[in-house]
Amino acid sequence: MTEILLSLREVSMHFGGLKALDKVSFDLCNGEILGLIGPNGAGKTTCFNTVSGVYRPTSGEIRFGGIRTDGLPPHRMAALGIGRTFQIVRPFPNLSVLDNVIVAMGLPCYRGIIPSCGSWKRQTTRDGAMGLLSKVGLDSLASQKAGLLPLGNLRRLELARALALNPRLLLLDESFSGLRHEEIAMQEELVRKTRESGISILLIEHNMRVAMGLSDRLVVLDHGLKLAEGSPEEIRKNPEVIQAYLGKGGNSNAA
Amino acid sequence: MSDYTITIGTFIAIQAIVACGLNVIVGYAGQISLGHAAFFGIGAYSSALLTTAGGLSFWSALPLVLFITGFIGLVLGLPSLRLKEDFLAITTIGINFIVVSVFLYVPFFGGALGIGGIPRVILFGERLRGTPFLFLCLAFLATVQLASWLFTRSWSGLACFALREDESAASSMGVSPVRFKLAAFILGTAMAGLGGALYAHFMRFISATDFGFPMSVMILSMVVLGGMGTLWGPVLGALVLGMLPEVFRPLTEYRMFLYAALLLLMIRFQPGGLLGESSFARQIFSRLKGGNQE
Repeated sequence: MTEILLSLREVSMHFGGLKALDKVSFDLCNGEILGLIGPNGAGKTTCFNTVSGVYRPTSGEIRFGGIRTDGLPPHRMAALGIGRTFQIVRPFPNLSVLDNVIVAMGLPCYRGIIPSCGSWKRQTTRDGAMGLLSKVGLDSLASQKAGLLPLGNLRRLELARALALNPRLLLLDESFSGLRHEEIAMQEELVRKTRESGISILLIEHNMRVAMGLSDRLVVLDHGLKLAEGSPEEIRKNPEVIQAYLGKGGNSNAA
Repeated sequence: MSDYTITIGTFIAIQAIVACGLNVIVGYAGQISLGHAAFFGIGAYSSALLTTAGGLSFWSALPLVLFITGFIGLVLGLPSLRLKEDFLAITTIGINFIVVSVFLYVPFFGGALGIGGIPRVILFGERLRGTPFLFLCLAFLATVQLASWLFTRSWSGLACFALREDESAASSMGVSPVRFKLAAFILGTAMAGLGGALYAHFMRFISATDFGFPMSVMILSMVVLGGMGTLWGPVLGALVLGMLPEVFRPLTEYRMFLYAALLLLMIRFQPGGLLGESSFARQIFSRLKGGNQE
């Protein structure tokens, strides 16, 4: 194992009496694709939101690149090198596809008063954004309004925006849901290429075939608890995981 | 030009400046404000006080006026901008009423009598009145337009657009919501302050009622009518709403009725404003542009 990029230690997130996450711990190594799976309501998205800074965990510790980050707001996490996509896509609907990506390219400029007064209408910025769009295959739609794009294109647009941040870690929240077969294959290819370029990936996925195929390791959550952790092969055989997904076996109604 | 035309023109230019300020907040950053007249008033009162009681000239008072309005914008914006949509709208209405009652009941601000005897603007040894003052207002309007244009091209402007479109997505891209909403708020309120200063030295007498809630609604109507988030929309809106009362003067009794009918027609047929996207004006313009290329 190489060095650890992201580590969660006993992270809990309670909403009133509901324990959405209960003392979850896991590590993500540099260059790894880690899959986060579990049945509906298992706490996957909550886990994502604590990592990306949307929620401050009730207790526990999150470290990213050695720095303690729990409680930092999302814009600080972006600056530290975490890019993310959303389960329900969140494009900037009235901006063009190109401008959607350019927003993310401004990351280094948003922190200081003087750089944030600079112009975003520069050719180099534009070229950089176009490069990312052609990587995800949206360059022909660059001048379209993002709100007009179908879901498949929006998922790729979100990926391009996240990549424009030059992240060290990419969080993909169900980036494959609602896509057609061909689109899933295309998206899988993009995720593999992203990892090859040296970006680590944490992904939530409902589609088991995709999750098993892409991930180096998997973490299984159920009712806020970590149920299992291991390679796709180990997870596939783990009786507790099978039980969480399919219910208790041996009974006639389980079949 | 007759004095009448010049007076109307000056009013329109001043209101256009204030509307441009509101456009930065509502149109660019997407933060609804129904209390913009408060900052118009703060600009007018601070310029009036600095030039009468303070004994400063208009020109030396102006930077202070912009600073004061922007600073009060910052102080009032900091808690308000944590709220969203309806709640922000109600809070800004509240700000408007509080500011007006402070002007009305604190003796320092002249109370119900307001402030009179505000000196004229002196430029190159000339006391500006009539046409020269109109030109001064137009020059300031041009400056405000330039500032708005530069803002839309800056990273701060883009950050505001992103926040307007989707706050969660914007913050996941490194845009601090508080910082950039405040930046838009400060810029917009400072522009209102500039309009207020010009208004004070134009009227030479001001009172709290000039800056009440109806004025805020009027300014917002200008922005919406012209096209929120467009560069020239607020100016066109100020022009139309500034001229209508004069055009309808023979129909004074039905004026409000005609206003309402016009706004309803706008909402039905041009929801994005006169210069908004998919508006008639834009369609004609793009057709002309397309025609030239062929």
